[in-house]
Amino acid sequence: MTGSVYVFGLDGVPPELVERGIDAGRLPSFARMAEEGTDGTTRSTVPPLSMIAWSSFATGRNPGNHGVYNFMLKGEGEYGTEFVNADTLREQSVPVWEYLDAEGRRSGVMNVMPGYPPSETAGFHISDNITTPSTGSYAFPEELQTDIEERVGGYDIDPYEGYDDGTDEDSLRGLLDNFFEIERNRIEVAKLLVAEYPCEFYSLVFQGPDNVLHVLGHVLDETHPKHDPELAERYGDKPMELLELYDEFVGWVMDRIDEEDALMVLSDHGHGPIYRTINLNSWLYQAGYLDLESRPWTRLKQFGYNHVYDAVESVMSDLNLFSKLKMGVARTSGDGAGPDLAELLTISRKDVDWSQTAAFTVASGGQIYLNTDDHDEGAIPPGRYEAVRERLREELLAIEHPERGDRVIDSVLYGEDVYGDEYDATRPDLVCMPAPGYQIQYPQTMKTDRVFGEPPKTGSHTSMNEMQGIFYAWGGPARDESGVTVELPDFAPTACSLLDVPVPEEMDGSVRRDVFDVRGERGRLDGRVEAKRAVRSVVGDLSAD
Amino acid sequence: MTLELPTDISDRYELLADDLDGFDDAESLARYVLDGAAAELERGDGVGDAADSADDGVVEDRLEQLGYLEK
Repeated sequence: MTGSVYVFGLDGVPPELVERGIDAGRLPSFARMAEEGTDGTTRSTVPPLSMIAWSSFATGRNPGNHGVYNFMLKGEGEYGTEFVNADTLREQSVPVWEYLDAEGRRSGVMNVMPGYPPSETAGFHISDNITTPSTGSYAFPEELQTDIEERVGGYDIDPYEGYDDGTDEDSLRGLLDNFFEIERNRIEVAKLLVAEYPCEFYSLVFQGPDNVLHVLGHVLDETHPKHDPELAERYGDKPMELLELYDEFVGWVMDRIDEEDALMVLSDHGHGPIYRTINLNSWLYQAGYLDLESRPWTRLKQFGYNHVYDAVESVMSDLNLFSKLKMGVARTSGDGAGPDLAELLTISRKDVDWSQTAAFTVASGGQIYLNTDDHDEGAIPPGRYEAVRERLREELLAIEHPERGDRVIDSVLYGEDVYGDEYDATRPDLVCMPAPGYQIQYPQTMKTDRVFGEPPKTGSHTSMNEMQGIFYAWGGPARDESGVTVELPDFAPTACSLLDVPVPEEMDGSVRRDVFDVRGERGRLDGRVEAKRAVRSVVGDLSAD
Repeated sequence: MTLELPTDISDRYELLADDLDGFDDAESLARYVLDGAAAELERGDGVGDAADSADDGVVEDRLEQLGYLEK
């Protein structure tokens, strides 16, 4: 086919929510896609976190082959981390819009994580909600940003201010009002882009469902400890009301597109209630896999942080200061460039005795690294690797919540079984999938005596229960199928194939011939991408001069 | 229309075309580069200077607000 491909992402929408809306007659466009095209589910990445998931969507690659394992990445042989942005993805892989650009196709991208700095490929690119700075350009070309601001009234790149857990009703109402307003604006932007910025490939992502479902876990789940039936009565329909907005947008697109065009709608993961969190580094400390320096200052901080700071935290939280303090701690690198708050105030990475540490984690999501001897102070020689890993795995699987008595970790996967080999030097050694209702928290600062805690949000996506997102395909080339399972890396090669572009050999995903009537020949295009990047760089330098 | 390249450039492009996936010979690479450069120049101002540097502090704040960093 030679039409256009429209892909719309609804971050975090669980399949059962759409099915319920279709059954109730409230989502006519989704019903039409299911009736006339293909429906099924999208299988998320492990763990089901948006940064990893959308990176696989964008590149057509398994996380091990684009190297974006989390929101923050551990350096090779290092203990420190760096945040992911679009340059990370471009350096380690190639997003599909660069392959399409190399073959002369125009792409329109909005809010695909990681999106900043925006790509300068032919078409347009609006960056995402996580990696875009609060000020400056969020769109390429710049005229697009001006156009959006003049005609749609702007584009909110900071939707998360005041984003608490939503258990206070006034706060919840304010958050929902704000997220609905942002999504109505995004839909207006999307209509402008589709109507007036012609492209062969559109990839537009809406974050609203994820934002809304994070604060409605206790509202939607009757067994949640913080469930309130009256709140459920007032706010329980909000997710469906939001889906109705997207349904109207999808219907608007379906009415406009041509016979040879293709449409796909997906979500990158599902959503479910969260009851408890586990701080994995604190558990590793208690289990003897992670040790702290024995110097007096660290021991004093350990005592203070465990026993005194609870009171301080309570007061400072009331003043909204505690999270700011912790973020300041998290930002300090200890390289002498500024005041080292971590050294002064909390138990952090700098207090870890690496020579006595066997395992650690660097981000949320349950990925564990063993301190192998390719690290600066690696403690595990190759001959002991399997024994240590296997013992740790068994102990992780045996963790029980002290009050609830249930198992906390559902499964512990080996890194090489989950992820490809291209970035094996930074690949986690183990990946813990928590039981439903548990979230594995980011452990930048830690109380060594407290492993379990309250969740920062009552809803999230952490376990196997939230691994499935939605999938719908419609349009001229779409087959009439039902119940397919699509992997996130399948979207990019399938889009290439729909646009008669050879599917890059580097993509791991499959061309979904069961969903669309396409051929899907493979080819090697990295050289053309490299040449295009070089040309763009030289012309950019000329323009700057 | 055949693209006539000076010998030294043709030789260099021949080597590059061998290294880079997707090009048959020096001429196809040269034509691709020229077409690409013309297209970029036609797009005008803004190419190559789209964005400021990323701000890690902002990213941290958002991840904390989303609940992915410890509150």
